[in-house]
Amino acid sequence: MSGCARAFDLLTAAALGLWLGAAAAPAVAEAPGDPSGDPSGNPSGAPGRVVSINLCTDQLAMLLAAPGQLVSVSHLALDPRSSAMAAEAAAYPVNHGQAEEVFLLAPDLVLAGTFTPRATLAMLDRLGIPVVTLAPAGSLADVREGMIAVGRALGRGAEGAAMARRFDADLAALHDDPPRRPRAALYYANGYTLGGGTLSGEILAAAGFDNIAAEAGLTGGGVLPLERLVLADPDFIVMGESYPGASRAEELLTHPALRTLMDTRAGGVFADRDWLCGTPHVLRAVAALREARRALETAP
Amino acid sequence: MNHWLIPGLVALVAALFAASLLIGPAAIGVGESLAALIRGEGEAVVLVMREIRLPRALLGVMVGASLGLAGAALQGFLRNPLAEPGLIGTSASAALGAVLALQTGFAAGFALALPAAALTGAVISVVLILLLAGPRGSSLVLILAGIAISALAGALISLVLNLSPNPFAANEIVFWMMGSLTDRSMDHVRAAAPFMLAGAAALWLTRRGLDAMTLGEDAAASMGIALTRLRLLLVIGTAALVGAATAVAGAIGFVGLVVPHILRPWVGAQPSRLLPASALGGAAMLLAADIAVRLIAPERDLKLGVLTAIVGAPLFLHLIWKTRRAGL
Amino acid sequence: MTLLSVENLTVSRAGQPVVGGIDLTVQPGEFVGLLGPNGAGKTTLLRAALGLLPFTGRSSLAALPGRERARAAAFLPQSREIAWPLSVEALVALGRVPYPGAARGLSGADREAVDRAISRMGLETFRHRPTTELSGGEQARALIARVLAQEAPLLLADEPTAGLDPAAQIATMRVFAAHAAAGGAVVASLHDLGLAVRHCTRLVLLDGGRLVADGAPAEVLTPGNLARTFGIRAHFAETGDGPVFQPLDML
Repeated sequence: MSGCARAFDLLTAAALGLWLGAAAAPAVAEAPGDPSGDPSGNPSGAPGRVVSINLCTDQLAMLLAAPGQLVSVSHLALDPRSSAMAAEAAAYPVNHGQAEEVFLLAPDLVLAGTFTPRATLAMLDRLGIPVVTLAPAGSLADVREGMIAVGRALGRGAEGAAMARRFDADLAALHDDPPRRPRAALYYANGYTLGGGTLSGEILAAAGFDNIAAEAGLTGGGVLPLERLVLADPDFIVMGESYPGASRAEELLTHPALRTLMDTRAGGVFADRDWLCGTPHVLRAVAALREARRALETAP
Repeated sequence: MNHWLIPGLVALVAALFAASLLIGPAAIGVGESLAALIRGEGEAVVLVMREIRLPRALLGVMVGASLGLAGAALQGFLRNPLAEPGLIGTSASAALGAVLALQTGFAAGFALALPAAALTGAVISVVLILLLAGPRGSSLVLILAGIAISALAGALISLVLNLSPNPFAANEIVFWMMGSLTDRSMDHVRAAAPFMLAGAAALWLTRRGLDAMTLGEDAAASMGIALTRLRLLLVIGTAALVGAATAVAGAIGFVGLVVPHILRPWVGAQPSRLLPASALGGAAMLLAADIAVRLIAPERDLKLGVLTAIVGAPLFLHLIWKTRRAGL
Repeated sequence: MTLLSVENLTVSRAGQPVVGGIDLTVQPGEFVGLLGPNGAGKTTLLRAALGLLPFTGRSSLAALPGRERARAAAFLPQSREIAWPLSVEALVALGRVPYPGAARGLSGADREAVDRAISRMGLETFRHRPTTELSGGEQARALIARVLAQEAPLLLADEPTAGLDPAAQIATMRVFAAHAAAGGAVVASLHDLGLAVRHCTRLVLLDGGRLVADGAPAEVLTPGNLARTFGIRAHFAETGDGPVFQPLDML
C-alpha cells in the first residue's frame, strides 16, 4: 500500500510541477493595449492570427484584415439585429468572448472593446495574449479614428487610412443644407434617448435633423419621460426594432400616447445594426434618415 | 365608530387624486392641466393629461383600493391581523401568472387575458394558504406558508424572465416584485376594471359573514352563515382584486397590512365596516406613495413597493412583536 | 311545539361512532342539562344537532335552511373566541346577524333586542368597552348576551359555566332557567353536576356516545349511573334550599 501511496505522491508532484511550469512560461506577457509588439516572430510585424471578441471590432476586422488573418469573431456578429455584417460573419468560426476558448485559438492578437469584462481582459493578460481595446464610437470623428486604429493594430495601416478617406468623402457627399432642420427624437425601450456627444446623435445631425434631447441639454444617453417627449412635440420619432418575447421596457413603445404621437407626426423604425458600431455602415443610417427627412419636406 | 371616517377618507382620496394628476416630469401649470383634462384644449397637453396622467391616477385609486380591501377581507376571514396578500404570497403568485402570460404570448390572445392569468395565479396561492392555515389561521403557519409561496413564485418569475428571448425582460423582475405605475395607459385601466369590480362585489357580499366569524366558525355557522360560500367568495374576491392589481402594477406589498391596521380602531374593529374604509385608505396610501415616487426621484423609476415596504415593514415587525407578547 | 327533535343521530369519525343512535326531544319550558364524562360526545351531539357536523339520522334543526335555523336556535360554543376588540354593544349586536331586515345597520327591532340582552346580563356599564378589556367572567356574560339577542326560542350552550366564579355560574344558570320558564328551552352541556341538579328541569346523561339516561335529576343521577358513567359516588339530597349534589369520592 505504501508503494501506491508514494507513486500517487510522485504523480501529484509531477502534475503540480508541469502546471507551475506552464504558468511560469508566459510570464513574458505583452502589456495589453500595446499593438507594437511582435510575439509571433512574424517578419512583417503584423499579427498572423487575430481573434475579435467585440461586435464593433468584429466588423472592422472583417473589413480590414488580410485574407486568413482573422481567425474568429464573436457570436454577436451573427445576430442580424445588431450586426450589419451578419452574412459575412457566417464564414468565420465563432467565439463567446471567454478567455479559455480564446486561448485555445492561439491568437497573436485579440481585439476587444472597453466594455469587455475586466476579468476576461485580466485573464488574457495573464495568459500572455496581446489585447487591443477599442472604445465605442461617440462621434463620427471617432468612427474614422477607429478605422485607422484597427488598421494599424492589424498591420494594415494603409487599408485603414484608405477606408477612413473613403468614409470622409462619402459623408461629405451625404451632407446637404436643408432649408429647415426638423426636430427629431430618438426613443428606445424604457424611454431611452441619446443626446449630444453620442454617435446616434451625430448620425441624426448629419442627416439634417435637430435632436430634441440635445435641445433639452442632454449629453450622452438618458431616460426621457414619455410626458416630456409628448410635450416636446418632435416632427420625427426614430425608434429601434423590437425583440421577440415581451418586456415592459418595450411596452412603453406601444403606449397609446406614443401611438397617437406617431400617427400625427412622422416616424419610423430604423434597424439598430447600422447605428450601434463605428463602421462605414453608419453612413447607411445617415442616408436612410436623410431620405426620411426629404419625404417629410415634400409631405403636405 | 367615527361618523367622519368615510367622508374624511373620501376627501383625502379626492385630494390625492387631484395632486397625482398635477404632478409629473413635464412641468404643466395647474390651469393648463385642468383645461386640457376637462375641455381638451392644447393638443400635446391633452395627450399628456388624458393618456398618461389620468390612467396613472386612476390606477393609483383602483390598485390601492383593491389591495386595501383584499387585506381587510383576508384578515377578517383568517381572524389574524398579519394576513395580507403580499405577505402570504398572493401578490407574487399573481405576478407569476402575469409574467407567464406575457412571455408565452397568452396575454396577447384577448383583451382580458393578462389579468385573468394573474387571477389564476392568485387563486392557486389563496387556496393553498387556506388549506395550509386550517380553521383558524395561526400566525406561524400563515407566515411560513407565505414565505414559501413568495420564494417559489419569485424564483419562477426570475427563471421565466431570464429564459425570455427579449434582453430587457431579464431586468424586469424588479418591476414585478416591487411594482410601479409608471407609463401605464387607459388600456391597463380597462383591462383591470372588470376584475376589480367583480372582486369588490364578491367581497362586499362577505361583510356579514366576516362579522359573524369574529366569534369563530361554529358560532358563525350557527348564525346562518354558509361557510363554504363565504370561503368561496373570499377566494374569488381576493384573487380577482389582487390578480388585476398585480397584472397592471406588479406586486405591491404591505398596503393590505398597514391600512386595515391603522383604520381598525376607527371602525370599532368591526370587519364589515373595515372593508369600505380599507378600500379608501388603500387608495389614499397608494396615491400618496405614487406621488412621493415622482417627487423623490423624478428622473428614475423608483418602485412603489420600495415606499410601501419602508412604511409597512417596520409596522409588520411591530405587529409581530405585539402578537408575540399576546402569546399567539 | 317541539323545539328540537333528534332521531337516531349517529356521528362517526374514521369509521368509529363518536355518538351513536341518539333520540332526543326538547319541548318549550325545558332546561336540559347534558351530562357525561370527558369524551362522552356532548359537544359532538350539540354540533351535529345543529348541522355543523355530518351525521346520519334526523335532526329537526339541521333540516332547516341557514337563517331559519339561526332564528330557531342559538349556539354558544365552548371556545370563547373573540377575534377583534369589538365593543360589548357591537358584540351583542352580532346576535342580530340572522335578521338582515334593515337596509344597513340595525333596525329598531334589532336595537331593542340588543338593549334587552345587555340589561338582562347586567352589561350596561360595559356597553362601549372593548370586550377584550373585560375579565373572563364579563366576556362570558357578553357572549351569553349575544346568544340572548338572537331571540331564538332554543338555546344550545356548550359548557357555558366553565371557568366562571360561583356567582357568575349561578347567575348564568338563572338566566337560562328564566329563558326556559318564559317559554323557550335550553340545552346546556355541563360538568358541574351540582349546578345541573339545582337549576335544570331535566338531565340527559351520555356515556361513550350513547344516551344512558334521560329524565328528572333524581331518576338520572342514581348511584348506579354515577358509578358506571363517572366512576364516583356522591351525596344527593333534598334540602330546605332545594336539591344538593356533591361528588364525594372515586370508586
